[in-house]
Amino acid sequence: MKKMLEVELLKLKNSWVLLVATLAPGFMVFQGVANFLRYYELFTSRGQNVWHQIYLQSSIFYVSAMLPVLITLIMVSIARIEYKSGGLRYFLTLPVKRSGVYAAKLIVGCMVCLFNVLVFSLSLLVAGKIINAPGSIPYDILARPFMAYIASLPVMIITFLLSINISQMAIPLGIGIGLALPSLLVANTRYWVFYPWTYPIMAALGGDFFEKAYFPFAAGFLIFVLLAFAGLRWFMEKDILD
Amino acid sequence: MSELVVETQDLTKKYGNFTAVDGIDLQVRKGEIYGFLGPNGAGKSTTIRMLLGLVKPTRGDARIFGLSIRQSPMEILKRVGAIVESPSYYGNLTAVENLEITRRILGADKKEIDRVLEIVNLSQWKNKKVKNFSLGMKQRLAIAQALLGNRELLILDEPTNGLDPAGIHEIRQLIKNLPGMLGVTVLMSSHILSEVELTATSVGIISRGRLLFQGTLEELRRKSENEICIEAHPQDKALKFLESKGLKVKARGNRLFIKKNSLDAAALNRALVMEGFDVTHLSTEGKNLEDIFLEITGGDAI
Repeated sequence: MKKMLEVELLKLKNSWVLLVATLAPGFMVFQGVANFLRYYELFTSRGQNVWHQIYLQSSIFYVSAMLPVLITLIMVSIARIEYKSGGLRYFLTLPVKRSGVYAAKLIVGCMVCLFNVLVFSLSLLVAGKIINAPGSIPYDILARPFMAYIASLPVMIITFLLSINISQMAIPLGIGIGLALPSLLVANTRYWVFYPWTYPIMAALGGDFFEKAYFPFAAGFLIFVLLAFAGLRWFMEKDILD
Repeated sequence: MSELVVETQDLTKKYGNFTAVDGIDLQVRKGEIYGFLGPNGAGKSTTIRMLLGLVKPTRGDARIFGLSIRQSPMEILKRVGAIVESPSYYGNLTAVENLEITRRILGADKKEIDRVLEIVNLSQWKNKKVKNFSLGMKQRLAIAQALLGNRELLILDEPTNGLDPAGIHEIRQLIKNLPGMLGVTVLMSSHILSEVELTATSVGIISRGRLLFQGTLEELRRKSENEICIEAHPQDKALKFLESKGLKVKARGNRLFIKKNSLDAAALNRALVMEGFDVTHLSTEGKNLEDIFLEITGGDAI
């Protein structure tokens, strides 16, 4: 498996996706902090914690729009390198197990997504230090993006399965981004439980005031495991015609 | 009879009601270049994909090195190099990095990369990104990938498709030299008869999913037995006369055609004249491979 993961990482070399995964979260924090500084008086007038405020300003758009869109982009480009010039049909004629290829690609995809979340957390720390946020760092602002990541597992597996099974990238890209856009609206209704794209929002921003705080994680994990195995079975039986 | 490297039994693939490959029994012997010939859409690629485990057969089995592709794909694929519907590569990587993927999977020696680059003459571009390669270079890289790790069987699907004449010549020459140079067996598909004629030692002809002919190129040529073409008057009586001599005669237009076999044209002429027929034309006609191919495939153009 180690060999398979190394090969999958090698395939990503020179791909723009790693660059986007690194820069985009930093940009989100930058605009979040800029917004906070612009309305500094407003955001701190009731003595709110500066760290929490920059977290809030940065993460609203990150978890509701940027993260799911980035996950889609990451998963699509991991599949794209296989379909663009027949890489997959060649790669599968090598002595590799299809289950191994599937698992390695899924793991690498999820790792790149995790890396993207870690960059986000790190950017928060750096930004807080730069603007000299008072007080000690509240560590929940670092834990919460990670929780949003766990809650994003359904989004990851859904976009992964769409990308790996459809050779035209426009379809998974369109579905992934299209479903991400209304998520902030749906999150404000009681139907959010049926819409996995809201799970990261609930995990990152839900606070103590919403019931079923466990739900995005439990449902997210369950959906991920079920779809991952269903997708694996499908991928193993699939005729490679592209 | 030498050892069979590839052997399929009743290999069949159906997509819904459409039968892409219909009960094919391929036999490829060790050390030969087997030309798998057929018009576009005849089922060549589907067959090749089944041999490589990319497509699951609906019925039948393919055995390579005596092992079943259903049961032991890993053991087989280790020893088989392939090009499937040319050329497949990772464009964002260099030639060396593309080969490195193959090398790592096979666990082959580092030196292999330089060796195969040398064979296909790509050494000087090895650190260039493949997406900037010309089609011919991509195709050579694909062959290099297939050769890496001393594979015993190469399965090449349309290896010269889309190349310019110089590229076609170069790749053909390369393929032709492979069995002698490296001791490999080659199964290559093509829709170009002359290509198979120039490179292959054995031929399988497929059309509409069925294998219509399989044998050496020599056996195929032997099918081009000559015919004697006669114009004699009155024609119907001449036909009856020749048939009464026990010959199989076909009338086409105002001419009679007889399979030559060991027949002597001069004796035939003499017999007709002695019998009082006016012979105005007599010739022996050979069919070229193109004609035979058309005859075998029932007129499917190539």
